[in-house]
Amino acid sequence: GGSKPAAPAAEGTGSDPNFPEVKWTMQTTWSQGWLIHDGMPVVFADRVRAMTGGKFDIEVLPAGAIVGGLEVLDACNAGTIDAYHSWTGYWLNKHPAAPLFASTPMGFEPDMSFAWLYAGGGKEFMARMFEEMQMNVVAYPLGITHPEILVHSNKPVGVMEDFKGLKYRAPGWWGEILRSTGVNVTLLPSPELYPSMEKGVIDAVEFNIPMVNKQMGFDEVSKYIAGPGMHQPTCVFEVGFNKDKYDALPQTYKDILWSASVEATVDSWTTGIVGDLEVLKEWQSNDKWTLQKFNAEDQHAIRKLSWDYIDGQVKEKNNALYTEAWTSYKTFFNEFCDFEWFMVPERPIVADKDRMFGAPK
Amino acid sequence: MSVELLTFVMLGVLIAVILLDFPIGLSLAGVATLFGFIFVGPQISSSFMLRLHYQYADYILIAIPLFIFMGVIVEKSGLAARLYDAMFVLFGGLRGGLAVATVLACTVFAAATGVVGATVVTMGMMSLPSMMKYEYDKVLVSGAICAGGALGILIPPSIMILVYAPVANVSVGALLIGAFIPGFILSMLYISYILIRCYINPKMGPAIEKEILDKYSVADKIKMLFTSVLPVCGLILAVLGSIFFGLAAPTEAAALGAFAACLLALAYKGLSWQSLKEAAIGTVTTTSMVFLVMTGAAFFTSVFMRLGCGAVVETMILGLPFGKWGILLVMWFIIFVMGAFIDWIGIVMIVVPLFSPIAVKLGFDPIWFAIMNIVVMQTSFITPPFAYSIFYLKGIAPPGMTLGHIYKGVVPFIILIWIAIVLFSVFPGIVMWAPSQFVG
Amino acid sequence: MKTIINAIDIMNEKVAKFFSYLSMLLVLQLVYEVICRYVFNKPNLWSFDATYFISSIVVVFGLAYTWKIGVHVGVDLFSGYMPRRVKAAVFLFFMVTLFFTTWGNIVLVMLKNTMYSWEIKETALMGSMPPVYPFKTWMMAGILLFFVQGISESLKSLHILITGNPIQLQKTGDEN
Ligand code: NA
Ligand code: NA
Repeated sequence: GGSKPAAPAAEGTGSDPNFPEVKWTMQTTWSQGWLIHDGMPVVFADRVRAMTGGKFDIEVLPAGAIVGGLEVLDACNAGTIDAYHSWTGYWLNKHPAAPLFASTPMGFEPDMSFAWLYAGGGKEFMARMFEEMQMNVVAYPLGITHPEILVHSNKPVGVMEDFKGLKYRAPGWWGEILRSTGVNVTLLPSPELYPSMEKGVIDAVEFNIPMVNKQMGFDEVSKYIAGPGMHQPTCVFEVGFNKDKYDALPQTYKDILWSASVEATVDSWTTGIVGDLEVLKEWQSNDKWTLQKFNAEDQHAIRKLSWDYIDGQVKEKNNALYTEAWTSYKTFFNEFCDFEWFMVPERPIVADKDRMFGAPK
Repeated sequence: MSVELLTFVMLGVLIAVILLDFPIGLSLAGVATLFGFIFVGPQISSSFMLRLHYQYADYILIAIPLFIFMGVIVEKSGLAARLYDAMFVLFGGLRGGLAVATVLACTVFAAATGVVGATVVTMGMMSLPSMMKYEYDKVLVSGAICAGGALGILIPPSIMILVYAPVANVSVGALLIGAFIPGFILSMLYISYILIRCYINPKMGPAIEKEILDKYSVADKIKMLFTSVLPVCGLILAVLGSIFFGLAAPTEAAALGAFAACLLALAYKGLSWQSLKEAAIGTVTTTSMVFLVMTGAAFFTSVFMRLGCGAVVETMILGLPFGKWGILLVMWFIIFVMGAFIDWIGIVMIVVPLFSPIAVKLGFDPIWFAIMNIVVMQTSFITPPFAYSIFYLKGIAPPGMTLGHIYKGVVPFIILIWIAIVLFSVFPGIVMWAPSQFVG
Repeated sequence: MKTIINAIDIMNEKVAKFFSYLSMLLVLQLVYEVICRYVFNKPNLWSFDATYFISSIVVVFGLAYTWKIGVHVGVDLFSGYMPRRVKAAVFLFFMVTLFFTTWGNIVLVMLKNTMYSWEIKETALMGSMPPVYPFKTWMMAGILLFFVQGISESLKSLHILITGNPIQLQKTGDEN
């Protein structure tokens, strides 16, 4: 994998029971070269190695190396791999509450998510979810990104009407929510996205943050790029460990794993922002693309649709944890909005936004 | 046991089991289990289950049974026979003409599918009976079908490119556009080779006797063109076109192709309930065969990576004392040798992340390097002992055609691919022209 | 021995042929989807799931029968030179050491996983997110039948090993 050679063991830790030699194999859901792979789990493994003087060595392998990208949780549960890095939202097939810890349409932004997960009760809800899923794993957040690009498309997407008849690749909750706006929600495996955009099988695609989308080449096959990332105002990723393996570790290593995860999370957050500033600058400065921000009033309408949808889901599933977590989530969201409105100074408008991003119709 | 030793022992045991005639898919899966149990633990079976679930739910792979269904219908309905009767007349006068027609058809088919299995199996089933009938050289014929079929993974649409690009961090579009010309040049090389070989030694692909061809008047030939050749070309173009014009994803296009084949067969009055039933069970057995090999390869790759055998390769390369082109050649040679033993997915996963940064450091263009790697990896389909193209062909080969014939048959085509590799290295512009237009 | 082999072979042939009809349904289902999308501009979300549900049934229940008729390819380069009994002994050795261990363990893991899937009402991750436990159930059934076919194939080799001759079996219908 992308791991660096282990640092030489620090002097005097040779027979220290707090620093035994441990070698783990981790697999991620991602391809090598992606920020989510190279910037989150690899940074994490490097930090763990550094903090243990090279004694705790986690090899990070990309999707498909041992199992498929979406099978990492099952594989870790079975003990085939010792650890994994993935996105909590994928476990929606095992527990309805999963997206709350990952990303929710018109829901938490990065700082809200960070605060709720780490200090507002989120990670405790998450641990309960893994218990209900009967997974023999210990999992917590590792990596966070800012809002994603709403669409790369070949038709303008700036107001609600633009959604009518739009062939849009939009998975999961977002797809369900958009259905009522007249979108033709299309599902395609990710390797099919690029050629499908190129050939017009679909009009629009959402995938990830600008850097990753650029790596996937979606800017090569689209004329319009729209924000904001209503579907995923933030995206929180997850690391998990096989519980038997985790329990066998000395407390020092458990602490180091946690600290390294927080450090890698901050690293991904900040590097992502700095990197995307550059990508957006490139897209803005080239006539090849029209950047467009989705109409503000229509955003409010979409927020209502989204939250109503989730309310409905919560009612339908009638799962105690889901209900409690969603109530906590909504309360936190609303309080945070008021809090920011009161606490955060007005932001200056530096750019000529009409020129740079295109005014909504 | 050291990982280095383990890497060689694991590959050695696999080769031994395969050479002792245990079914390929079962050999791969069995050796994976053996080493997985010893060095990882019994929980390895869980990852095999996950691989199975994943493979059987893979949307892209569903194109395989559909293209096979299409091929069986074409064959059962007598369409294949008509096509080759026509080809017999149109190309039969040339020495090696039927083999040329096969490679051409493979090339067109490659542009319609991203799956080698479908190309080899379908083209094999369409072209083998007639070439056997006219006593073409079995060695030449099997090489042509295997090599022609392997073009399916090179000429877009190609699953390999879709998997490769994100791993190497290069543009998918550039690779898709860039792979067309190398694929086409390879096809032309194959055809030239067949024509030259058969010109020198007419026994390998006899030209059909003049008296037989003379029985057909010009009017007959035109009629054949319209009733036998054009409909099948239309069928292939329907598949190709529906992908190219964005009417359908490859899997859907495969279904359209199968449906269109049924309609064509109906028009030719070659479609009966019996032939549909036979197509159905033929589809099942051929697809099962292909899927079992893929399953076994997936298990094997999984354990190989889990045991860290991938890293063994990395260390070996970094220690090499050669120059820029020397290391490049060594990397291709490693891909080539690995291709003889494991499937391309394994190679992409093991080699591309290791080699791509090295190539960039050496100053090679990443897109050129990617396309060249894909050309080299394509040989994995035809390099013995482990080669999908060969297994697929063996699965449908007539009793008289042995694995020995096929193994011998692929050798000249492997050499032709290496000639192309040298050509593309000396004149990188051949590969880079199209992608540079695209990236602009 | 003959009874067991016949029972297994006939059962797996019937199963494969029965489910093979679904390949026609697979074609029709996808053609229907293309029509819905391009003629009526109304793609169906369930199409994605239906496609792999059908195709997985078609393929997985064919594994056993495909073996029975000898389509799972091997490398016959050297085995042609081996005496019949040696060949049978080698095959049996690999069946015991490689085949039954591999697939027996997979069936056991599948059983556990499928029961878990039913229990938590697991859904698929893509498409219309239908329940995924039916898929896991028939995948398990198909692999189990494949395992059982292994017993039949082993018995055939065992017969050769003991008597030196292939077992005489009644014809089990048209094998194309
Ligand atoms: Na192709
Ligand atoms: Na090979």
